[in-house]
Amino acid sequence: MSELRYFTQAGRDQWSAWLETLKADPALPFPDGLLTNPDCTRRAHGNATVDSRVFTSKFELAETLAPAIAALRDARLPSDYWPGLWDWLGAFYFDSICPAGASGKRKLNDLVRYRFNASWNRKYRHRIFGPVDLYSRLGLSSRLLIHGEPASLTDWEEQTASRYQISGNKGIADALYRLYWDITKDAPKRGAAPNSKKPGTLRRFGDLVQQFDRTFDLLSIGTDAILDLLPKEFSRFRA
Amino acid sequence: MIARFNYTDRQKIPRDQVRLSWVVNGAGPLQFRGDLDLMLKRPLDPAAHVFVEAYSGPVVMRFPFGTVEHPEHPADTSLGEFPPGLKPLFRVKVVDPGSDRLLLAWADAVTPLAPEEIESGRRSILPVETVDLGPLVWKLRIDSNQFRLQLNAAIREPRDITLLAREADFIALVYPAVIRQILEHLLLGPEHDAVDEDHDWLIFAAQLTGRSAPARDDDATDPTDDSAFVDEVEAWVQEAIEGFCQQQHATERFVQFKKEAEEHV
Repeated sequence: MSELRYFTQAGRDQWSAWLETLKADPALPFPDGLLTNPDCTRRAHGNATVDSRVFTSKFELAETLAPAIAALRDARLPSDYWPGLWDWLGAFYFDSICPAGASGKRKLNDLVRYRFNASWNRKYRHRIFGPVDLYSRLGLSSRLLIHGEPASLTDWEEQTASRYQISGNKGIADALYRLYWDITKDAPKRGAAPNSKKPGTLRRFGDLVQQFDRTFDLLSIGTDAILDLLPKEFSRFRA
Repeated sequence: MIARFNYTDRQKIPRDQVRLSWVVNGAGPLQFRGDLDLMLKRPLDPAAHVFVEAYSGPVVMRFPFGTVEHPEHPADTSLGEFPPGLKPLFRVKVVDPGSDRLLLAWADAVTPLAPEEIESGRRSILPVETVDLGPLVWKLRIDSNQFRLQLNAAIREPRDITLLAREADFIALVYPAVIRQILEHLLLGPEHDAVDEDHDWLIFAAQLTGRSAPARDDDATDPTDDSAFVDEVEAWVQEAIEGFCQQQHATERFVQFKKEAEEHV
């Protein structure tokens, strides 16, 4: 177990600088001592600890970290504390969210996945904040939205995390699961989340939920009623 | 074929019938109090449920306020799910008691009043909140055609950012940009067709310019495609900014502020 820490501004700056260099040299070794350097990090409130490990799924990562994060949220820490915490966790679990391949090179994606950006339409892309935030609000109901490897950012997250009607509503998240999760394959149903608004698919579901929100009280209507509201175009996913 | 849905005839609850106010509770989470007048043009079902929801982005906290016939104020209205410093917007929902959970009436994007606003009888049209903004000093948060000036909570030296924002240099340099962004968003932005004629900011700018906001007959098309209208809006916005600077004596106060700052060096 290791102490849960957070980056100071100096730590975040060093972390950002290292990520920039990693873009140019994907085989760059992780900076020695950055995670515990007293000039760059501080011990997180409440003396929490984290387990050094490599996660195989976002759900597993979120489920593991959520209790420690909930305790910190309960402590009402100032908002400028959090970006350093998310970035430190990103650095601590970097082998999970940006693993090195067999050649020792890491495949770095958009930096917003590792360097927290507080904008509402960017922050959920951070590979620690995004899954933990969805899990914290939806619990088990988030299992479809945050399935897959910790390094991935799927359309399931993109289309749901930024829509309050879905990301804050367990009934709707459960409706998504019942509609689109293939229990036999333990994966989303084939063709459920294409990059377009094909009838009956995820993006279309998101649009309809926004319309329903103006007509029904979606927070109290329940999963069955939400599924009943969906038109025929969703029939192929109901089975 | 993609199905389309028509909305029901839910009623809009007039803004002056929704009275919300902030309750500051020391170091604990912000709270609010609500006073709702649900006498609408068409009487609501007395058994309909009433909810007040605080929201910011995807975070929603819901508070039950009883029914239309038997209103009840929740004992605890702590807004603990929002980070310290962030002031959410509110919506009020009146929901059919039946199983279909139809919305019978609602009000959206409501901002509670601060104690000083209640005391003075004047309401701020640009609430301020302090949040993490990374490298930014300030930012305008736009949510459902409502606006908040966000200030970087990390700035605490030489004074707290909320105090710095009241000083002459901030007012002279930042507020004109804020006013431009707000007015252009209302008149040319993606939600222009949802802006009421009596929007607080349009009234404020009309007072500064001495004339109403430019209007178009065709509200269905994108206003940015109408270059004559865009020119008209830009001229009106510029007049409003100049009116604001004149009203605030922005240039004189800015020069005086800088002189005093240099004398202290």
